Parts: sequence; structure tokens; C-alpha cells
Amino acid sequence: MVLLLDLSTELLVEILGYLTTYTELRHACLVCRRFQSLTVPLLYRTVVLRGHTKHKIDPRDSAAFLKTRNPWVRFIRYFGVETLSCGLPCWDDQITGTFGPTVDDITLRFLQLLERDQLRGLIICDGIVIGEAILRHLESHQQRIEAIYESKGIRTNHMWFHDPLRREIEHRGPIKRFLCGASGAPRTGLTDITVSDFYLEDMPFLHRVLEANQTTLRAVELDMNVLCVPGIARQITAEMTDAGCKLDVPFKLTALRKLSIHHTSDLSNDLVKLFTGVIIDYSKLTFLKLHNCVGETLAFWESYPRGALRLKCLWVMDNYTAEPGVVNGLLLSFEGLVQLVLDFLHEPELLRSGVVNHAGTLQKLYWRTTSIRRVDGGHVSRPGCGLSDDSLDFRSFVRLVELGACISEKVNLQATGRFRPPPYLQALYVLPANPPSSSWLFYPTREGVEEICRIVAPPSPSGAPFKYLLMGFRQPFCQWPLVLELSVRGDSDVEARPQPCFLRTDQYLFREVGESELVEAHPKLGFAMEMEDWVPWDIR
Amino acid sequence: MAPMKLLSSDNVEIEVEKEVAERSVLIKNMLEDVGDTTVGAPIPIPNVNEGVLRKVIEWCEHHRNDPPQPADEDSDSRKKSTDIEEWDQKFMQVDQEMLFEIILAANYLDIKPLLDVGCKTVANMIKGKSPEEIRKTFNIQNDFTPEEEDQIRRENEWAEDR
Repeated sequence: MVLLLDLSTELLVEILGYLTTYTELRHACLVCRRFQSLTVPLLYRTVVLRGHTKHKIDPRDSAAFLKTRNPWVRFIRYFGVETLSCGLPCWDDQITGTFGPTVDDITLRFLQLLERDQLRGLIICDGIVIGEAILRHLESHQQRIEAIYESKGIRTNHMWFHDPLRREIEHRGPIKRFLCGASGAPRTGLTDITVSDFYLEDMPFLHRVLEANQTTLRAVELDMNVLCVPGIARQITAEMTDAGCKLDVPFKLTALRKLSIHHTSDLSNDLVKLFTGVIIDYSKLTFLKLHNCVGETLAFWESYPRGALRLKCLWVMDNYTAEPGVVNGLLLSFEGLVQLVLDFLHEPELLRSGVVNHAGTLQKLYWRTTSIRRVDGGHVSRPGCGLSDDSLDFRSFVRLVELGACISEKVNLQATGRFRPPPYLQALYVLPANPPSSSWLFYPTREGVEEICRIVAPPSPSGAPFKYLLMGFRQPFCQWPLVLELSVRGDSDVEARPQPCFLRTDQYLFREVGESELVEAHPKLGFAMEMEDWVPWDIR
Repeated sequence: MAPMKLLSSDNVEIEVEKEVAERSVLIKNMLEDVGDTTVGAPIPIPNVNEGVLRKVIEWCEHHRNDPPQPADEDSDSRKKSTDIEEWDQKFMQVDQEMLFEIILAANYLDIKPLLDVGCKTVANMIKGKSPEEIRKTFNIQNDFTPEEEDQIRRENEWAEDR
């Protein structure tokens, strides 16, 4: 009889490599010596020291990494400092004030524990001063970094946008500090770049960084928050033009597989030019995420032969484009998409044929249209993705296991009474949109769930149309959605369960899935680990 | 499509379409190497018995039209997804011995997508379980002393609540 431990180390490493959370890895470490030897390198691969109070890092982090000599630090490959201790913005000066006395402890002393040349990536969450100290230290030891992830806490800090934009502009330019070495020249050998503070005036420099890393970069993620304000974008664009900035593009990013650009309006055409087909080999790209930069950016597909693209994941979130047809054109130009996220304020009809083109391969489809704008400027009264429409029959989507549809779709469904789910649907995610603000945090109520269920899970002789229904938020308020498991009534196993039922209908029982069960259900539901992936757009 | 024969480790000949068999990189390379010189002769698969081989062929038949997997795709990604297609989930609903035999066969025959599905299935059996539950599930002996276990818990305390 073959047992798990009879498998070769190579195969065990492959299996344990699928454990992604710290909890999973901690548990695996305690199973037996062999498991421990294989999971410790994974557990320590990414370490981010957390801020605890104003002047200290988390005592557990301190005990593990600063006060004692921990032999496992040799496995660290991605190291970071997270200074968001109170959920408030931390600017450079505040960070110096917060961590000033301990910067050396946190960075230099810790880094001295590391063996040389083992770090591959740096994660800097608001810690610009600390990040620079780390980079200086690495440079003094001639260590190279392949990935730099810089974030200003947008995902965790709602206050960020309330800061005066002018102040942001005064702080612009951190990208240069991280992406250049001591000589001021772009770093080389980078595989990943994530920058949340990207400004148009940084473009010529970014261009140099991309060129210097054209054969190694696999992932680029840029977030241009400020430039979603048209006035500011115009101003900076004018400054660039005055300064005579030009972008010559004699190279291609041949290794790039993942590209994300956020919050770039069509007004920032210079950025768009940078990322249209000129420098990126889209035929090798598998992940493309565009937020408010659909128009010219997506036109790249026109220069590729039909079927040449091999995108697996496409996210399109767009409020600005005046050419919605370009998205459908892209979807029609290739096949094989596995995951599609659409947050698109145009009529669903404009995308229907493109979505159907991927019916045979799509596994996850999230489609939200809440406030629909017609090309002619008018509005339609029934937003939604057309779940009930005759021309979009999900029964042909044979691999679709997760479907997310806007809650406003219920209006359409109520009118037609038709919901034809995919044959193997695991999870139906009812995406929040325009709920009453007074009950937002407590959404959904039982009545709300019951109303939806009457539409999407009507009594059926063939059983439940899906296994999990996801809606709103868990209570007490939690950013994760409420997850209800749907069972057919009369099943003795189900009826015998001691847990209280969230809702009973004539045919089904809806049981709330608990936290621990949810962790176990993750792989079945395919939930991503990060909030941004869990809820495929910012609902806050 | 031309049929061909595979010979399992327990000497059972199994007929399979060439296109299906070529989901295995090992067999595909073997066929390319030998050319037409051994037409009709079964290809020996000495490490895989009949039951497992039939199971592997069943998977290959279902996935015969899948596009080839890019060799370099996210090979080093730490955010590996454990999503498994519905059909594959049902396919992998077998006892542990068969599951590990399929993994070994997929590894030997060089069928990377099947190996991935097998490994994901085992990983999903580990996820959400306590160390004791993992040991119980896979019949693993705890070879730590209580002191060693305590020390590991203390060492990894930093990773709690993350």
C-alpha cells in the first residue's frame, strides 16, 4: 500500500507547495519531521514585520526575528515591513517618527541575520524610509533584488483618498527611489514590479526601468490613483509635454505574463501608449487587468492574428471608455479564457457574443453592470448581466463553477422567471450594488436572501442549481461575504446536522458556513486569499 | 485516429488511441524516437499496473482536446490555486492508495496536468486540518517528542493570525 510519505521528496514538495496560508503551513510543520523539513522553507519564504504600537513592531515578530538568532531566517526570500499600525496614513515623516529609533533594529539588524544573496523581493507597505534603508544595506552587500512591491496601504486604508491631492503630488517620486540603485541607474534583474504611487512624470524613468529589465520582468502592476482626476491628469500631461518628454520604444517585454494597470483614465494617453502593443508581447501575456483604461489600451488585439492571444485571466473595469465594442472585439479575437471579471457600465448586449465565445473554457465569471450608459448617452432601466436573457444560456458553460452576478439582476430575473445556471455551478455570488445605505453593513437580511433564492433557486425536481450562495457580509460585520450552503430538504444527513439553519424554503435548506468550514471550503470554491480577489472590485 | 497498445506492469494489453496516449510526454517522446519501426507492438509501461493505467487513460481521454500547458506558467508562484474542475474532482474521488498511484503514474508518464490535479487533491485534503487530523488522514506517525513540538510551536508563533 502506497502512503503519502512513500512519495518522493520532489512530489511531496509539489503537494505542500499548494499550501498557501500561514495557518496551513504551521499545521503542516507539526505533522512529522519530514513534513517539517519541507514546509519550514515555505513558511519562512515571505516574512513581513508588522507594526504593533506606535513605537514597536509586533512582539511575536520581534521575538522571532530580532531578539534571538532564528536559524530559519535563511529561508526568507521576500522580506517586508508593514507600518500601518493603526490603520491611519503613514507618510515619510510620520514613519520616521514612528519607527525612527528602531529603524536600525528592524532593518539592518534583521538583515544582518540573513545570509547573503538570499533575498529576492522586498515588500514595502508605507515604509519608504525603512525600505530605503533596506535597499542601501542590500546594495552595500552587493545583493540584487528581483521584485519590489510598494504599497501605500490603499487596500487597508480608506482615508488615503481624503488626503489633499496636492500633498500626494508633493510626495510623488518614490518609484525612483526604489527602482534605481545607488548610481541612479535603473536596477536590473527585476521580475516583478508593483507600484501604487505612479505618476505621469515618472513615465520616462519607468520606461528606462522596463527597458533595463525587458527580458526578466514577468509581472508589472501600476496604480495611478491621482490621475483618475481629469484636471490633475491634464496638468501633469501638459507639464510633460512642456518638458519635452518623449517615449521611444525600441524594445519588447518578452517575459511579461501579468500586467495590471489601475485607475488610469483615457486622458493619460502617454501611459496608454506605453502599454499598447508596442512594448508588450501580448501573445505571451496570460493575465491582464485594466481599470479605467480600456479605450486605446485594448486596441492592441487588432494587430495580432486571430487566436494568437493566450489570455487566461482578463479583468476589465471601466467607467470612461466611449468605445465599449473594443472589449467585445478583444473577447472575440481569441479563445481559452478561464477567468473573466467585468465591471462595465455599458449594455450587456455589447459583450454577450464575446463572453459566449469563451463558454467552453470559462471557470469563473463575474459580471457586474449597475449603472448602464448607452453609447448614445441614454440609460437603460434594467441593469444586470442578462442572466435571464434568451441569448445567454449558461447551460452551455460546462466548466463554469463560479458565477458572480449583480444583485440588480434580480429585477430581470423576476420579470422573466428564468435562471439557467451552468450545469456544474458550485458558487453563485450575488454581488452587492446600490443597497440601501442604512442597512449596508447588515446586508443581507434573511428576507433579502429569501427574495433572491425565490428567483435563483426555485423548486426543481433535478435538485439544487448550485452548492453555495454568497451574498453581502458575514455578521458581525466582516469583509468576507455571507456563505450559505444549499441542500435539498429531506436529505437525512442534512436534516440531522445540529447547526441551525439560516433559511428554509419549501425545497431547500440554507446553512451558514462557519469560519473553519470556510477555510476548508476555499479550495472547492476557489476563493482567492486576498480581499481584492475575493471581492473582485472595491465595494467600499 | 490510429489505435495503439500499452502493456501494463501486470502484462495486460490496453488499446488506446495514439492521440490520447500522447498526453503522456514519455509515450509521445518514445513514439517519436522509435518511429514506425514497432507498429502493432505494445509499449511497455513497467511502473503502472492495469487498474491505474486504465484510470490514467480515462483522464487522458477526457482531456484529449485540452490545449497544451505553457511550460513556464507561474512555475514559482506562491499563490498557487487549488481549484479543480468538477470532472477532475469526481475523477479523483478514489481511495488514497489509488490517488497516490495516479500521482506516481502521472509523474512517471510525464502528464503534468494530471500530476497537478493529483497534488492539488492531496493538498486540499491537508488544508483546514489540524496536525493531528493530518496525521490521522494519512496514517502518519508523530515522530516529534513533546518538547520538540513545543519548540516548533514557539518558533512559529509569529505566523499566527496572519
